[in-house]
Amino acid sequence: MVRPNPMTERRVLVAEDDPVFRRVIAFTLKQSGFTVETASDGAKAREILETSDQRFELLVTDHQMPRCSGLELIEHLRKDTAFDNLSVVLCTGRGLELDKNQLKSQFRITEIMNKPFSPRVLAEIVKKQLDAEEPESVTS
Amino acid sequence: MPKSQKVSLPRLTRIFGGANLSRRIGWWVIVGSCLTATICVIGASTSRWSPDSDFVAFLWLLPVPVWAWCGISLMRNCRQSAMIETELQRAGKNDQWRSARPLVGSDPIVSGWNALLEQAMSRSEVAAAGSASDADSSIGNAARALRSLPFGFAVTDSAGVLQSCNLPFAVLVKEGNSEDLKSRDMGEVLRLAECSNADEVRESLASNSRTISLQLNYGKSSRDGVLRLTRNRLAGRDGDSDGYVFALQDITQQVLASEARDSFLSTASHELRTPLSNLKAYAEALAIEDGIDVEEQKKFCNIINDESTRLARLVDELLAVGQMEAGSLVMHRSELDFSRVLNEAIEYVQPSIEKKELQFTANISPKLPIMNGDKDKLQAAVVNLLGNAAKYTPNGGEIHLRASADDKQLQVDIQDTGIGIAEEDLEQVFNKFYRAENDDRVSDETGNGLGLAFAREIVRRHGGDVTAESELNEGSVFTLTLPISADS
Repeated sequence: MVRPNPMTERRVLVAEDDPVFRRVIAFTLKQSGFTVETASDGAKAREILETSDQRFELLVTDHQMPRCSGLELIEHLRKDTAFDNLSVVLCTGRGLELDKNQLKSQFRITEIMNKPFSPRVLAEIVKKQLDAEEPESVTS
Repeated sequence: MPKSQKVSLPRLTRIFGGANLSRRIGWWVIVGSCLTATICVIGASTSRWSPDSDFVAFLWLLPVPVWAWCGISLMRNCRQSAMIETELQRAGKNDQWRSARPLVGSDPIVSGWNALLEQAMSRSEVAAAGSASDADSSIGNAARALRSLPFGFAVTDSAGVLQSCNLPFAVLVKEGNSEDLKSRDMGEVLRLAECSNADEVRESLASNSRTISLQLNYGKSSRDGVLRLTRNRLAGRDGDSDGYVFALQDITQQVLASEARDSFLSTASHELRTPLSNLKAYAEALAIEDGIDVEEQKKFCNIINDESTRLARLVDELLAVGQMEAGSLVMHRSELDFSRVLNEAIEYVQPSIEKKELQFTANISPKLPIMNGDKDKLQAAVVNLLGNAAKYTPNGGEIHLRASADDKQLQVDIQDTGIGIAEEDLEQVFNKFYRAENDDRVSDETGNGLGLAFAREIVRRHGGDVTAESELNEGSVFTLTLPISADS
């Protein structure tokens, strides 16, 4: 496993209500060198983002969650300028019903993933996004 | 039928005349003129033979009676023709041919006349009788049919003002009496103001199309009522006449059923994708990632196993629902120990209970009888009830399971301190696809509305029943009963 360098630590928050899936995503992202924190619903995710003293670079969120859905969470975050640098990836099992392009441009979502997807593919997308944002950082 | 005087034709005329009146006339003239000529000749010649002026005068006068006799015979002969002529004169006027009468006689003209008349009369009688009774019965049948059909019918003039309608129509537009609807504008009668698609409907009605078929969506959702409306031009004798005929039909149930089915399919596919994506993710992780220690590998494999089981159960449930819908659900009976069924069900639901930190107690009487039934399906039913209790009870709540039996039946109560069920939903929760969606707390949870329908169907097939009692916001108790000598 690639150990994250505290200097170039890339923090990712995973919001997913199914604990089984949450675990494997977190696992795969950690394998790629990211520091991962998890939340089981949209409200908890918001709490973590707002109260954490560490900055998160990317949010991976499921769409259907209790209390606060993925889209609601994203909508709320985009209204808050403190999270302008936060990239977002949305995962959904209802991919066919959403107008992806419209949502991506409306909420500045990096990618919308259709379930079932491979966590490895997600990790690649996350890596690509964060590399693009900070091309000068060094990955160990 | 007035009897005409029987005219006896002299045999002579028969020999002369035969079938043709004109020939007869001709013969009479010939006979008359021959006789006259003969008499004249005789007269002229006898004046030479006899100087008797009386005899000569007699001879000159003789043609008169001869001709008179010929004339009278002719007139008698032509009597039938004269009568026919009279009849024709009378009946030919102003379409009164029906009043023509047959005549008595045996000569061809009379026979011909009688035959023609008979044919004409019988045909028109049949036709008149036929069409009168046909019309009667078809009008009667049509009226009866209109009363009996469940469709609403209404007739309007070309401006859309209602002229008449049947009772079903009045009922569908929520008016008690078809009389009250007369002379009202169709748009108002159909209560278009309450339709969510009113503009579309008005546009269609304003158009001149010969046939219109559209849906009237009342209120905000399909539950508020959906009617199918068709409009056709009223048929006239040749082509269309002025006015329209409307037919109205209540299709609320069909629309609701089809919406429920769509919603079920979309929920079902979502529910299937979740365990599938987990299986894929873990298998892939095991295959691709390096440096997973053996403990973790084992955990992953267990997760794959559990998710497969979860998926299998879901597929079974979906298939069972499909079979329920098709009416072909089959019970595979065997001897089973119900306490085992309960314990395994509890084990299955345990993770959900723990996740929400619910307090769970199970009070299962040790004397539960061995019974006959379909173990898998009964277990699935219990899992459904327990799963619901866990799903709809907020964190930190309680679930209590009690199971006991007497010699007649077995009873299982599953009680929770959950969100409860409102009274108006309580009678419907066991319906297929029904979810108390008015309660936000219910629509926030995933569910396909089939668990309770399925559970009750299974238990009923075993001769038992599932009932529910609930207090909104306080909790619910679901009671499952099964007869001991389960012989259903």
